[in-house]
Amino acid sequence: MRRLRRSLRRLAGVFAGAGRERDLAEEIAAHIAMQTDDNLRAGMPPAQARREALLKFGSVDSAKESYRDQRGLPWLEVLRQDARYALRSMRRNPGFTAMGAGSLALGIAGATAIFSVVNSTLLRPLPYADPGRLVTVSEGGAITAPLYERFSREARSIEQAAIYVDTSLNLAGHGEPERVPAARVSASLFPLLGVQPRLGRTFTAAEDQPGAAPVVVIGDRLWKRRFGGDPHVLGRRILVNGVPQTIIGIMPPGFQFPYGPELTAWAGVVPPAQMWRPMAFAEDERTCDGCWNFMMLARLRPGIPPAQVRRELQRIAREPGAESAWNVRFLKDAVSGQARRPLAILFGAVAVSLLIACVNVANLLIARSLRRQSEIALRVSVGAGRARVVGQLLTESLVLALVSALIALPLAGMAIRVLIATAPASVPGVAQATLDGSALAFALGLGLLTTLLFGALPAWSAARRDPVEALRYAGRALVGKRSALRPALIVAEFALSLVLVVAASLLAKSFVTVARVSLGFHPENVLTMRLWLPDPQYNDKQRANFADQLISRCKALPGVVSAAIIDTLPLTGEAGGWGIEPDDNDSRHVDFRARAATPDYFRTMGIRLVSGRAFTADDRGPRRVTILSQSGARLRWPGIADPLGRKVGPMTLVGIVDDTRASGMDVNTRPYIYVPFAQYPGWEMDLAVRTAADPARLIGPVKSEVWRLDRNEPITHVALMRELVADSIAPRRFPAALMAVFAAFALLLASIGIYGVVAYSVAQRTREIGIRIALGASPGAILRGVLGRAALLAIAGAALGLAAALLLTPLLRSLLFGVGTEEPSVLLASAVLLLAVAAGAGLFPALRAARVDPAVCLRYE
Amino acid sequence: MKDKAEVWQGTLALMVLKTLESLGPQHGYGIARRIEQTSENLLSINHGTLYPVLLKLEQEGSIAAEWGVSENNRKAKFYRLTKSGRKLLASETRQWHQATHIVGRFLTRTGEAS
Repeated sequence: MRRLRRSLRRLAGVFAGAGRERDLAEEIAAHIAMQTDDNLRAGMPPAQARREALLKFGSVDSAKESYRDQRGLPWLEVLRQDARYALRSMRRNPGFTAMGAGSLALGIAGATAIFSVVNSTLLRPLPYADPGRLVTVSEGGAITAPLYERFSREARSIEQAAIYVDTSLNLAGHGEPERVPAARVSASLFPLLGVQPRLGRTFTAAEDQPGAAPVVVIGDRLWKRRFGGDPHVLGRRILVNGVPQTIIGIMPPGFQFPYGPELTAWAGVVPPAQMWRPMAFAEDERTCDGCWNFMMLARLRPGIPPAQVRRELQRIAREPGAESAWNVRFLKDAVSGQARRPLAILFGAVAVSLLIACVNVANLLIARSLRRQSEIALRVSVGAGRARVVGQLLTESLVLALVSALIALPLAGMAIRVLIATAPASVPGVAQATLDGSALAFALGLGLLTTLLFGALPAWSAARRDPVEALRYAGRALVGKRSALRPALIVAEFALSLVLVVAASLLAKSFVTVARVSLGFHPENVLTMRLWLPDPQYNDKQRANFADQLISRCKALPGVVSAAIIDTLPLTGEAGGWGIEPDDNDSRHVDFRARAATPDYFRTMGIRLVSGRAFTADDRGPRRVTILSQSGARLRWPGIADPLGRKVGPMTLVGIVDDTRASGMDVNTRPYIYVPFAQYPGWEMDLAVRTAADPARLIGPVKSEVWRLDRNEPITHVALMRELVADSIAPRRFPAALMAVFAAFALLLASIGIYGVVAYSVAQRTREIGIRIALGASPGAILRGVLGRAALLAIAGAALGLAAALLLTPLLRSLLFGVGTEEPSVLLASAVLLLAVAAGAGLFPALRAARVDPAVCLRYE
Repeated sequence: MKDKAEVWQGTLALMVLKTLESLGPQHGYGIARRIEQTSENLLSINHGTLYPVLLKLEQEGSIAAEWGVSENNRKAKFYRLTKSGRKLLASETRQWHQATHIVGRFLTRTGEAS
């Protein structure tokens, strides 16, 4: 207790100002005066009385010194002095400070920004109660209603279960009608997540029944945007898909469910839902064994591993053996699965950038400590211990790092905003990334870590130097002793930069490759939407009729060029496989993707007919015809030039069309088999409408035509084909762009570094160069000599960097498309770029060296 | 292992506390004089060494300091014992007696044996 109190007082004493010092002086003066008084009274002459008093007191300075040590904390005192000195010298060398603190601040800012994103997407727990027990349950990405009900009733390892599906809803009333991303959820979902609405309530079990009065819960963003954050909106009725529904609750800000990436049932980007309505299964949905339309979320009982749940579900589903593949994944993994890899790689890139910044600063510090050689030598020779010198230099780096961290914080804040704005929506939770306490701690921690990294080297090399040598040669050496440390650092810096440049080039090249990839169709001016015509409301005949009528109605709309229906559009999914056995000796077994399309599909999507004909209105009834994609035809009849008229199972081949991309632009093309929609009318269908002008204008009219045929037809996934294409490459653009930024930054730092080293060596060798010129060396020779030195460093760095790149870039493979990791052109181009940058950075000091005037520089001898 | 200075500081601190207990509030010079007189000038200290000890005791809260006027009308800093200082003095005194008692007996015994 006393010790603690004393420590606190001493800590306070560190900051004691001149007042305490004056106090002490007065107290000592009083002491000596009183002693003198006593001595006078004892009969001494005044001069002797005072001298005796002084003698008795002992050394005033030593007393003061030990008093001061007792007053504060001596090491802290030293730290304070050093920090003050560091700040002063930073002010005195603005160029050095700007370069060092600037590059370090950029490095820390980048790392902190990426950390914030990683933190909010990968590290931070999902914002639900006890999220570690939440799992998604699916087979092949989906579940049916009957299976869900069986699972939630019978599975003992599951504590709570909910079922949901993402959708989108038309919202009308209170302003312009709009389509709002939404979800149909069972009443159990919100209690399962453990999230309370900010206002109102969530669904009751009674509201989750068909025929119940329709109610909706809305998201905070929708509430603020559309209803101006008015709390009286509760209980109000709004038109949802044309049906009046009552708003019963408003979710808190930041609430997000479902996330999107876990909805593997539908490919593509799903915007976060802002409206939730009860699942309220219709009887046909509840009993449909083939409707794999839903997602299941479950809360496991504590301590139960997913594998055990999986076995139990397998048993309940009564699907013995390896046939079924029930997938039980932690919600967290399901949500962040796709984003994990790119973010991890970006984090690596940012770490390398920071490392380069550190190397750069270390270099600057070494250069400065060389210039301060004589100052340090003087300190050592008048008695400063090595530890004291190292301590002082480390303190200087610490101050630099902390200043950089302070500058970095606002920069990181800006970078985070840019990241949020450019990140694809599929990166979960990225919008929640902020500069919070953990990011702050991260930035400061980085500052400290970098201090150790870059401050230790120069301090160590400075303290090792022999003071006598240093003083003897300071400023007079003809040929300065060259330290191997700085060139080694430069080489490392260039090697690291090259790794980033190679990575950025590979990513950029795959992005370009993906963007240029032949789609097999023309996405411009195509409007698409998804419709559901489920059993038993519709049978096959009714569905085919619906399709016919809808297409002719759409074609009648002004501005429509053509319209068609297919069960799954390109880029929206991989479902529907048909393995078809060979019919004769010429044909082979092929696993086709099967698509049912209406006659105008190829024209509407702009898919080229290679040979034969497209479907016609007559292709129905018993007449079985088929069209294959080009690669499909080649696989089935290798070596047969014109297979038209041949048999594919019971069907006759009537046409061959171009290949298209099925899902995501970078998945390679697969063989396709097309059949007439009239013969295979599935309950799920995509409508595609090609328009003469802006397709977005036709969204409303086309939807009205759908609803004229069926008032209650839910329309989802309204999109322009062009958007689907852009979305499918967006996840590539993001890491490619960021990596390019890091690479450019790294190159800039490395060029600053090489400039510094070359300029320093020129300055150090000015006399030597002067003598050489005086002895007849041509400026060209001097220029070549200096540039050669820069080139040597760069070449060594490039060689090392290429080796490192070959070692590290395989980590990128999952992000690449159409480029190998050992692409020679990329490696070569990156190395050439690096050498060019090095030459540019070395040129200025080299020119200065060539212009050295021997008369001027020798005069200083 | 405490070094010599620290041991000396501890002993000196105990003397300071005892002095303040018997004399009441006193300035640094007065304390130094009293210690000299009590030790009958056997213990001659540099008065300067007293001040770090006073500061340490003050930081611990065992004594408190205040500017005042000395008997000869000089401005001086007066130290007085606080409550916790009194407690400290009691326990330190007890410990000191114990320690000297043990060491004394030990020294006497070994002296007899040799």
